[in-house]
Amino acid sequence: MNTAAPISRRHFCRVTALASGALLVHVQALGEIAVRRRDHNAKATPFSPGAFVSIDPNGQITIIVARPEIGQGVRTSLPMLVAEEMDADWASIRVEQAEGVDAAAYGDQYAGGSQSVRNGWDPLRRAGALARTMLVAAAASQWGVDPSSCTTSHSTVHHPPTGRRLSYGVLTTAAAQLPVPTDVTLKNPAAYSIIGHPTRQVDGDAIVHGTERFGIDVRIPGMRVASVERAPVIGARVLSVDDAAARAIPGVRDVITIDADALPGFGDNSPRPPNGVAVIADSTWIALKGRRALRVTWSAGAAAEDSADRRAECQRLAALPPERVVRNDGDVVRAFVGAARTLEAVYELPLVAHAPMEPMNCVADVRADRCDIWAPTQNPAGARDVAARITGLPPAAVTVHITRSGGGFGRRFYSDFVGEAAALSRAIRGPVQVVWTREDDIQHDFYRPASCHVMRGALDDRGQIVAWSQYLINAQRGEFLRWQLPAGVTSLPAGDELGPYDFPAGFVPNLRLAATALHSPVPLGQWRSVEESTNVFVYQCFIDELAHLAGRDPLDYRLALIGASTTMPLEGRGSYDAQRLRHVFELAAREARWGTPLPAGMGRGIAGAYANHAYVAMVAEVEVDSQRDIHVHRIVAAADLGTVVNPLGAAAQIEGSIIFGLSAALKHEITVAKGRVTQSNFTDFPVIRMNEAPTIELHFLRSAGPPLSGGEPGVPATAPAVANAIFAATGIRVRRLPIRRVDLAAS
Amino acid sequence: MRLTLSINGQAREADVPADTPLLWVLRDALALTGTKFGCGIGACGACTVLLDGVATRSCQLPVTGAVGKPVTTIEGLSAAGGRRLQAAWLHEDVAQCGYCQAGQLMAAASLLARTPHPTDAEIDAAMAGNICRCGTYGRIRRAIHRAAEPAST
Ligand code: FES
Ligand code: FES
Repeated sequence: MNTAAPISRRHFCRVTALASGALLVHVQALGEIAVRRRDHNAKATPFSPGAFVSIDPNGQITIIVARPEIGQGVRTSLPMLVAEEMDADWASIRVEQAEGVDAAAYGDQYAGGSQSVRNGWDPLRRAGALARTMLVAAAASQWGVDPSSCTTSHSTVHHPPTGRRLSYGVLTTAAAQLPVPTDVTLKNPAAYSIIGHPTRQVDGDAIVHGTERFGIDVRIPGMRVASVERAPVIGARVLSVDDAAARAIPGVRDVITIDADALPGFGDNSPRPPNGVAVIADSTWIALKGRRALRVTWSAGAAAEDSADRRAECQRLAALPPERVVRNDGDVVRAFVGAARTLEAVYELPLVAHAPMEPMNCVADVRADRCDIWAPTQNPAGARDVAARITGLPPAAVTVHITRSGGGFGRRFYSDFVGEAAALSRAIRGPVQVVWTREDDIQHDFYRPASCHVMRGALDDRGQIVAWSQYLINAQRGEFLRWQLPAGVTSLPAGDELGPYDFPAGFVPNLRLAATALHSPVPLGQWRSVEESTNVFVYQCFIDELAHLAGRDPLDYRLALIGASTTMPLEGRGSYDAQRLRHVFELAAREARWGTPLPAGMGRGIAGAYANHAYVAMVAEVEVDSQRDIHVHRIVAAADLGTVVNPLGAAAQIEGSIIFGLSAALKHEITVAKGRVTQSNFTDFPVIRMNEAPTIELHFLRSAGPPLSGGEPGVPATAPAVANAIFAATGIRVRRLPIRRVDLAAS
Repeated sequence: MRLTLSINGQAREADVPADTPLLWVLRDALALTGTKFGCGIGACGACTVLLDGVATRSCQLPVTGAVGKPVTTIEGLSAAGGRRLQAAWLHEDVAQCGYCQAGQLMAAASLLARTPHPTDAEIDAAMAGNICRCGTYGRIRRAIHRAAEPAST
């Protein structure tokens, strides 16, 4: 049994006095703090807090991580924040994944937008500091000394004047009886012994021994496996199913049609899955065999959808006036008339898939009064809500067991795969694991939207940019994510994928950003670094074009444009510091020895941005050989991520982002023909492999501010750095991704 | 069909259709989920195991092809002489999501068994079949070189 007594209205601090003597520190979403003692016989879930630490009387410190681990390293970086401020012995802490979803206790639990460390920075450090303060108070009162004469290290309170010491474990019972301080003092960063120190991930050992459990590894008693044949044409419905051959296969238990169009639970950031027919079997292989034996007749669906037509439509729209002007500074028309030189260029980006290494999967166990979901999800609350609406159960009756995810990249933010599993478990009245094949994954993704950008630039007689215009034709995020519109609003304005503060907004006197919406039935979603993955490519290539038009060095040209600017406004009340952007450009260039000669056939390209909340610039060294094959030999990157909590993990994120960005630059393209996605596996949707991976050199700018981000900001600059390097090597300007050999043949 | 397999030095029985790929026998029938499913067509390497000491795509091998041959999975890598490689992986903090890493380790173990001191080109050739979507290639390369160093360093 647990009781909670509010101590302070403002801080919502609570102590629960219970038998076992375990001390729990609980930090709520907005930095609110509660301290509890937990009875080990009691269920942990009723008060499952967002991020908390418990100390057993035997000294075992457990730190709970509420956000999903998708490879971004939160199971290491978030506990580091807690452990630092409580002076816990890092080597002996245990990390546990929070069970279930509880917004009131945890706050946001999603993994997305590169914000986990940034948003955890304050509350998690405060959680650690609070635990430490109370443990010190307990020791000091036992010794009869002033708490300020005590120090802490390695999970122990010391009293240096007398040489006494007490480990945290023996202090938990006493600490939990103490009043909860209403405020705590955080460490001076100079005293950090965990934050800022390269720290290997806590799950490494389980991973190299094959014992780490991902979503696809979940096994529960009585569980069947399902494989789903999904509508081959976008939007098609099941007309009829001949499942006789499938049902004849020993081990096939059932065949169930999923009328996804009729399932409740989707909408508002949660697009629905395609319609499908599921084969339920005793094992994955039998389910796959059963599925192959199905004969399904489908309705026509969006059989007219075709990527080539859509591209032509984009180009047609590009010639028309935009639907909406997102930003309009100065007088662009007049500036163009009076310009010494002008340039117009059209950039195009394709649909791309996420293709995380672990295909989508989910185990659902729907009972009359409860539902358990085991899902490699980036969005546990979204998964819960979809499951609740499909099963008709209240959200509180749905438990989402958050498993490790084999990559995410935005794909697992959507709960289509959870909804399918919940619907199937409800239909068969038992637990079922839905396993997607790679073909399912590539063909039924929510793709990064394809886009077309008409760029225009005007230079004065000294080569300076006097006018800049970007006209974007692209899908509408609010439309493809099915945002619920406020009352009275019937459609969303075009241009929600165009940042009105994107570079060079604020640096160029006459600037116009405009957009027209493109509508298509292709399922779309957000992809690692979201619109920055396309916009930064476009503006960092186009500024390169203008630099060359002006006869200027591309680095100097960018630096001159930034000039002495400092605080640049962002949407809302945010801002970024243009000098920090300058510094990452300078650092990347210096470390890459920008301007020094390279062998023939090779070129250097630079690109950088404040994007996804951080500053990253990079120089790519690229060779285009006599066969017109592209070899990216080296990428030198500089990043200002604010305070880097775990340099080893943050570096992994930037390194990985560069490889991810490179796959998009050189390989990725999803096309739709007659309403069907053409690509199906890593053969026709290839990714960068070991033999194609460049050497990556990464330099962090020393930065004292709070952490910014890590998971995404390395992606956007990669493609433009490579395209700019290809121009430097060959004189050929590539304005369309992925960059193909054929683009380099025309010289 | 009833089969006896030799997995990680143990005789293991499975009753599965004869055309079942070894991958699904390991994962579904034997609860050895360390070996991963990534593509099902031999294109990603996530399912790599050692068959007779050689890296093999278990998604492409019907289980009958494994009968009578020793199979080593990631769960048995330590006992099969892989500790040094695993230690190198940990030292370099290779994994991000970790999903591909079982396959990467098995491919690397196979490489080092044949080529104890591989060059970068030999690493490229041996590892190009193993995709890491998280992009850990640089650290994988360093870990393989580290595992190949003389034990004294
Ligand atoms: S799953 Fe076997 S090679 Fe990809
Ligand atoms: S570590 Fe995620 S796929 Fe390799």
